[in-house]
Amino acid sequence: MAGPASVERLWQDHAGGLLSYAVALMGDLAAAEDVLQSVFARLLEKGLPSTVESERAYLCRAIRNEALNALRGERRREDRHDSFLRLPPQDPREEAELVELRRRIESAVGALPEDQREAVVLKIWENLSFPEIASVVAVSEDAAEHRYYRGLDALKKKLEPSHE
Amino acid sequence: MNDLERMLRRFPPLEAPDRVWNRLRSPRSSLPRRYFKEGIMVAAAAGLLAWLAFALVWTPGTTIPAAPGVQESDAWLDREPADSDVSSEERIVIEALLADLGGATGSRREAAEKLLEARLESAIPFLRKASKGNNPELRTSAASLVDEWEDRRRRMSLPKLLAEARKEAKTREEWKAVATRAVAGDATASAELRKIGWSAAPVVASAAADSDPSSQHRARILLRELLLPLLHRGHPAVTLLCRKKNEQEYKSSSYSFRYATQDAEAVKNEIDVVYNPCGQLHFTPYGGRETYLADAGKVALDDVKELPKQGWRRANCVLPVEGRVYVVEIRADGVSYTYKFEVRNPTAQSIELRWAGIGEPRTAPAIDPLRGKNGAFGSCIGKHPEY
Repeated sequence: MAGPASVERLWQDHAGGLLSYAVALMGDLAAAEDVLQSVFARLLEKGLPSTVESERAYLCRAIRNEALNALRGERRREDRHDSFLRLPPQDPREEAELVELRRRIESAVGALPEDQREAVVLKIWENLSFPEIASVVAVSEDAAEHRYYRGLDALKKKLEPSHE
Repeated sequence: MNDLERMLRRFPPLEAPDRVWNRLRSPRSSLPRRYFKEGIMVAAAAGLLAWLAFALVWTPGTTIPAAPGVQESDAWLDREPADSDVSSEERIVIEALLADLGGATGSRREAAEKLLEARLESAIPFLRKASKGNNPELRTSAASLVDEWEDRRRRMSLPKLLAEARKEAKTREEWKAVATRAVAGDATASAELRKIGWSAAPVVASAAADSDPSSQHRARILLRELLLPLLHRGHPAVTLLCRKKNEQEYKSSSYSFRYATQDAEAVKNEIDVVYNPCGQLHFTPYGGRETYLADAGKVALDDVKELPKQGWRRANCVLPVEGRVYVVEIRADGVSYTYKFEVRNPTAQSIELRWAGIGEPRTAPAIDPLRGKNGAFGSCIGKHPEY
């Protein structure tokens, strides 16, 4: 079981990415912060099980379960698309362009079917492998890979004009 | 990684807000500052030991002129290593790590990635092949390690640093024999040269110049290690133009102490200081770094010989005062770098900094999560019409 110091390390290493994942699932930053807080409160109380093989995958699964619980009974709010990405360090002259590109990416990711959106977010921004994604969303590795590539194809079509 | 994935990865995920952690953990932990004080003591002890070791090796009066009689070609320094340069033992290790990188999960895959990153110099030909292979996992991870290698090479040019070392290094006859053994693969000889430091780099280069490719490969790895401290040494005054003069671009308004260069294109996010129109020097303008600053007062730069024991504050910017010397600690990527600089002729158009490294780079405490990881500009109270 992890002590408070290791939970602090988990926070430093993973909290940002987990928050992005929660926002991508829920569309709402405030609700996502509550989910993140609940997961870490439980970690401080009970610690990380010693049998965990991949911390990141375990935490993603915890965030997913908590987010689904929070969403139970109410559908994802389609009118909310809070930002789940930061702008990269940039030349100030590029800022407007990057803000627009981020908006388009987030809107394209938000419009993906839920299963594909999750696979894309976990792969690209959480940097999970396909076996890890499969364990988070409880499907086979092939299915995880299939969802990811279908999601990526859909994104490519939506983003093509600026991407070329 | 295809172009689309690369473009998506350009945008990093969010940073978790401090307030959530504050709600979880109260009162605040004092861990980072305590570790910081202990770090200074460890660095001071390590510095003393290094000085004693150097004093034992160095005997004044027995030196010979630095430059070899014939200027050999340094073209081999720039050569990309080939897989035939790598020893069979090293090859076995690299292949095992690549198998883990493409097939293992969780901590084992992360460990393989870290180990490959530590031996990029040898692993690069194998990583290039893997980045074009059929395994999508391996392809993605290998491509990002290849990017890292190319960044590293761009920042640290061996021929350029070696030329600097040749100008100043004093070489001794007996080092030549040691360098020949080191280049041939003798680990004890390499360890002996590491103790001497960058002064031994010219003899290593001479010993390797006409040798076989695998000896040159070993020499390149050793030279990279020996020459690294040159990037941290003192440098003549550098002039930073106010960023307004550069139409808000970094260009000559920025400087990287860590890479001793004003070439913002080359160092990218590793810029350490920027002279902004608000009249302040801004440190580490990109997120994920921390800067601490101590004002040593109006003293001569050379008189500041050690890190101040007190007066440190976490600072993203300082209003520079003519003649004052400041000591700055930059924590980036788990390493703590310390520099001193003297301010000269600060005007609305430009500023001059005379600077030098102070102390050796050492392991840094973790970035304090309670303070956030934003870059410097967001927290500046000066005038920034562009933001």
